[in-house]
Amino acid sequence: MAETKWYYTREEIEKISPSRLDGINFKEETFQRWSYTSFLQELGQRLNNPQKSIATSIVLCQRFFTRQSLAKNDPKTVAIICMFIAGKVEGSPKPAGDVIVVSYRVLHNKEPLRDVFEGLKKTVLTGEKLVLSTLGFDLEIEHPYKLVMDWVKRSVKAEDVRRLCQAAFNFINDSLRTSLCLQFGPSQIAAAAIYIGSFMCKMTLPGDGEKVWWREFDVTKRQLWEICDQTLDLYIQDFVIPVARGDSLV
Amino acid sequence: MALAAFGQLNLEEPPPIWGSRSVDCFEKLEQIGEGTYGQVYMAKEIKTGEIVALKKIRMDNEREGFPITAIREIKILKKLHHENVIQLKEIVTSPGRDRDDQGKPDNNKYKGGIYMVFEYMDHDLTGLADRPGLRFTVPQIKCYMKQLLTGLHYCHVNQVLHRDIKGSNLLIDNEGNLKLADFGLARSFSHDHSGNLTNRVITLWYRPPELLLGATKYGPAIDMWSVGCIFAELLHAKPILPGKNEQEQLNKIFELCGSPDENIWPGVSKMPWYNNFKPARPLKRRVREFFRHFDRHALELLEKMLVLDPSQRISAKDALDAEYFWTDPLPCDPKSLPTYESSHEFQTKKKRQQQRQNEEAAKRQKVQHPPQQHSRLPPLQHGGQSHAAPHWPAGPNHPTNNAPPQVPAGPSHHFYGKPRGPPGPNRYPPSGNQSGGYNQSRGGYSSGSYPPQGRGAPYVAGPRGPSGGGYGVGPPNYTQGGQYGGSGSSGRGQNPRNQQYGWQQ
Repeated sequence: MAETKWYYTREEIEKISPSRLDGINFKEETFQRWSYTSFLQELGQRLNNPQKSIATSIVLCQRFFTRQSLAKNDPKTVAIICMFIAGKVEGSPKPAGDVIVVSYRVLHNKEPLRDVFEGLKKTVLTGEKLVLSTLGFDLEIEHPYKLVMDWVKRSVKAEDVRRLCQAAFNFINDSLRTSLCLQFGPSQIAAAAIYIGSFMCKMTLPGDGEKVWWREFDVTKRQLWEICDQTLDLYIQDFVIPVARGDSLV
Repeated sequence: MALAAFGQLNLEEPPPIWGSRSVDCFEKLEQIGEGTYGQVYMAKEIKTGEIVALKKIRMDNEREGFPITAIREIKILKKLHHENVIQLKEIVTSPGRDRDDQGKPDNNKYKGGIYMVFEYMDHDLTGLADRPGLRFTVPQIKCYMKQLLTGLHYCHVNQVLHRDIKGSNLLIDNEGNLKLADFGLARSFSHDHSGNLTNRVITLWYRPPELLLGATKYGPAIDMWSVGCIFAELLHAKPILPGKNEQEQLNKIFELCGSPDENIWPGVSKMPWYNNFKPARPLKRRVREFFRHFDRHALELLEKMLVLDPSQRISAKDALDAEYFWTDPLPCDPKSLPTYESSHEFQTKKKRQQQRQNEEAAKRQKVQHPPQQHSRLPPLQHGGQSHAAPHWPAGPNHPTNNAPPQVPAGPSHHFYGKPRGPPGPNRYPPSGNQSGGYNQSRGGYSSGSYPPQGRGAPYVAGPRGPSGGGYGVGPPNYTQGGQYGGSGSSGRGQNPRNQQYGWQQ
């Protein structure tokens, strides 16, 4: 099978995404990215999906919009489809009907009418093929969580494992709202998560001097900083943040 | 341009560059498989002329969209890259009709089917073994077994259980390469996390005792039992454990391998169905007695595969180190194996053409180099061109074949689930084992991977008649499919795929 390119430079993401070619500016796309990823996190939690499955839905959705435009594809609909697919991919499938009803609740805070439901279901089932073929059926998504967990268990004192993992996981979850998963591999993001996590926990990581601890993550110090920077940007963005459960998200 | 409205999707354009290609990149040559799962076609990629197999993923009756089993299979196949594992080349989509039922134009490009594109393989192991008058040589059996174990070891190292190892899922090309196919029941496993898995997998005759006793935690050893069954079948020239149902299957296993107890299989008495199935009286292990005609090293290896306790069963890796593969006669080089004529007019032509080219090339080479000595080549190894079945040296238990006269180019052709000609006489000597009444569709590319639909039950007992005339002559008769597909009535659930696996682990 042909090698697929799933990583982009920051510049490519900013300047030549399909949405940009359709006249949607970077700020708008960044907002939409924030909006559909937040929606997926909320939706996944309400469906009781494991975090891994939620993360997969987010990566699938972000990848979709590297090949398709926001002008032609409603991001919320694509997100619903990605959640539906991610469930099957990660072995925690939820019936299409459940995904749709819960999505509707998250978006509109009410139950869908029968014909609305039927319409959405038809859209989701047809759209599934659009999403799968746009993604070229590349469905195996690796996440940083396990890499972080394995390393932390190996490298820090037993009583610190939980604290550091939690801090790192929070960082990973936040990073999913950015385009980092389109720029860096799971291993590099794992390293940045440990790096930031250790700051948050005021921990010193082992292996200073000659052998830096992040070497095994195949990441440079510069990349580490870049990843941290971009995630921290998320906290200072000036979006007018709509209430996650309100109609305003639509 | 403004943002898309709620519910809007870009359905009127084909997938973007880098996305899936259209099935129109291929020219369907002929249908080579037919089952309730859908169809398999032999096809040619228009741009390159390469011959491939297109397996359609059945989507109708799927209320939950794209089948989770297909997602699982694709994920697994995409991460496996090995010369003894079938290669999934890509996935293509068909845009579907451009008019709807009322004849109005319909620009939705996503109504059509989805196909998996595989490298094309000429035969499957069961099909080859079924060929009348054909006997595998010892080096040939070693060669196939070695490839089977190498492929399986690769899967196990990559934490994939195949869960449906059987002859018809082992595809063989005309270069003697054997590849594991049909990962429709396969599953990833991990050593640290072992959730419950379904025990309704593996075709009954090849299903290990632990699954029959209800195990839901299991590992690579289940595939090794199947390998043992195939190994013995190759040497014995007929299936060794042809049970008709679970009870009979276990009885046959116990008659051969002895009945299990806590000594030889610690924990067996705690297996979920042990009390339902334990034999009335203890039975002795009789593998050596049953297969005393096998050579010493073969028997030694087989003994290690057909071990009741999965934790003591030999692994694929260790099996590859067995004396059997390192003593004379050694496994032959796949390339030295005979090629077998296939039945497609198209292929026949192409092959003759190639053969001519090869001969010319060989002639040219001969002038330059003295001919090379291939010490281990079985006789008549280049005989594939004009006659289908080379005359193999008859082994000690050469099957008496009471098959009807064959079409000269007796196709062994396989088994993409193609209904195989009328259930004919067994390739094996008549015996009580014959259960030719059942229908099945088999084949590596085909074996109805996707639920829901039953296949001919018991799934295991197929007509082992000559796969013959079915589609060598004239256009294939597709309507035959019904005859096979609809036979699920006697299903007792032996066919793992009879069940809705959709949501199972």
